[in-house]
Amino acid sequence: MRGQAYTLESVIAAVLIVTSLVFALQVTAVTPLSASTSNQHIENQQRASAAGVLTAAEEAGVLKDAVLYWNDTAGEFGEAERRIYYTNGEPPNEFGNITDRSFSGRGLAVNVLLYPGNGNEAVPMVYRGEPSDNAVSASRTVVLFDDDTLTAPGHESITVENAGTYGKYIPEDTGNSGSVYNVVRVEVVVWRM
Amino acid sequence: MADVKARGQLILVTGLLIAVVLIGLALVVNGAIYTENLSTRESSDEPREALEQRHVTEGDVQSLIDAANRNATTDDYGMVRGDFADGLTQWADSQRVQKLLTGRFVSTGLNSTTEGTQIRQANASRNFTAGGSLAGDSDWTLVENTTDVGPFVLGIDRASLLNITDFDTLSDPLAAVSDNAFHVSVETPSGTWKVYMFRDGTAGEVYLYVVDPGDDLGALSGISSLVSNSCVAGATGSSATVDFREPQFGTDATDCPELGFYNTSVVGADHDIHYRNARTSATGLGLLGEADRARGTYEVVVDTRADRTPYYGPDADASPRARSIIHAVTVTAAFRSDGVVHGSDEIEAEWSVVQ
Repeated sequence: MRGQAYTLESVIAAVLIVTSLVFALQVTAVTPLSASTSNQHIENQQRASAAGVLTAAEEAGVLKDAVLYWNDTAGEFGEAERRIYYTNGEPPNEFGNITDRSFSGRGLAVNVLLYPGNGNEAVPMVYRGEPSDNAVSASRTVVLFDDDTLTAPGHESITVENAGTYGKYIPEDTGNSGSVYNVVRVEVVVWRM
Repeated sequence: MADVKARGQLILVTGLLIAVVLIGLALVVNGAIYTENLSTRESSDEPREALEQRHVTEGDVQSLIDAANRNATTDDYGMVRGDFADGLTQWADSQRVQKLLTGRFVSTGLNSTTEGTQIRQANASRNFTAGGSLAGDSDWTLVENTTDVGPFVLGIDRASLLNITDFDTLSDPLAAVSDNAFHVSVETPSGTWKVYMFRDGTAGEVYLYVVDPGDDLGALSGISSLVSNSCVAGATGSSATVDFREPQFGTDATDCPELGFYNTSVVGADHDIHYRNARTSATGLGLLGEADRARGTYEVVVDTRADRTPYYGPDADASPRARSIIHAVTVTAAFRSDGVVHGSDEIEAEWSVVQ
């Protein structure tokens, strides 16, 4: 009888140990969304991807074209629907293609914002909603000159200086008499949905 | 019985202790993995950002130079430079503000600018004689003491070149070519290169022959030897392109290794560029009295201020004309962030397009 009691106690102790071990392992489990090392890595990778997209677009000369992809008559980015910016996809130009190839189909959402120089408000180019707490961003500046022309089809003959509606969102930086129209910071914000 | 109770409690407490130790171990191991992960991770993006900023500065300064050159309406270097300096100030201010928003400091200042000249003849039906107060001169100097040259391209009307058909029958055919064929003479301290252009009206071909320093056209055995040592452009098209920098020659601009001397021996050395025999008045076989020996367009961008005497005013349609441009610029740039100070580099940028 006493021997059985000892055996039972030791079995219970062993169960307790195993349970504690399982509990310990469970409380330190790492998921992609938990604040952990792997999550940090994903953010780093997303930031590097966003910076890479901007670098690739700039090297190909299409980043500036995208900033100038403006429908001056409708007062919105070329082929944007309902809003002045794109809500349901990437811009229909090469920069949009590069962004799309990099981020689509991976559960990632992207916002592209333009910050004109001289303290003007941000102009959204692509807006998919409010970014989450884990969002990362990368940015690049683009120099616009007075005689740069818009790039949206049908508006290629209009210079930024003479455009009717472009200046409402990206106004001329009048602090200077040089041939620079404005220096725009393009910011790409990426986050997991 | 009391002993048995105490032993049971002992085992229970030991079990609990082991459990606590294991939890502690799990936490310690997890912490160690995390620390190791942190230590092997790239510390920050800041050095990369500093280099990227340098790259961006180079590109943007180049586009600022191009914009200033493009927008210049008069032949006034002070104005081109002023326009560029204004643009640079505006750009630098904007960069500074944009970078401050992300906790970085950048500053860019103008260090030096180099004046250059764009020489251009756009009127394809004009001959290659000088303009301005030297108007009509058939032997003249385009520029003296230039070191670096941008594009140097001639678009020559093939029909205007000296026709050497039947020159073999002349008593001294090579002298007739050397005295009458249009050529570009490039003078360096180590010698003079002469680039002759002429055609055979029967075969319809156009030739380009280069006389190296110390050599003489007269030393060749005859016209056939001259032709066989030339770059040849076949009988198509109405104009032939001579591109010194590529180096190419012909209607469809094929490689002409003879012109390679310009890149290998001339660029980088102080040199003068002259046109010779743009129009000659010899008579005789194939030499129709006073006639143009070259007509067409040309464009040269040099890194020095060319004498304006042989050129017409700065209007876009004047041919030939010379115009001040910015050839090169150096700027000093500084980049500071929490962990990186990168600064006072002399960043150099050159013009890329002049329209």
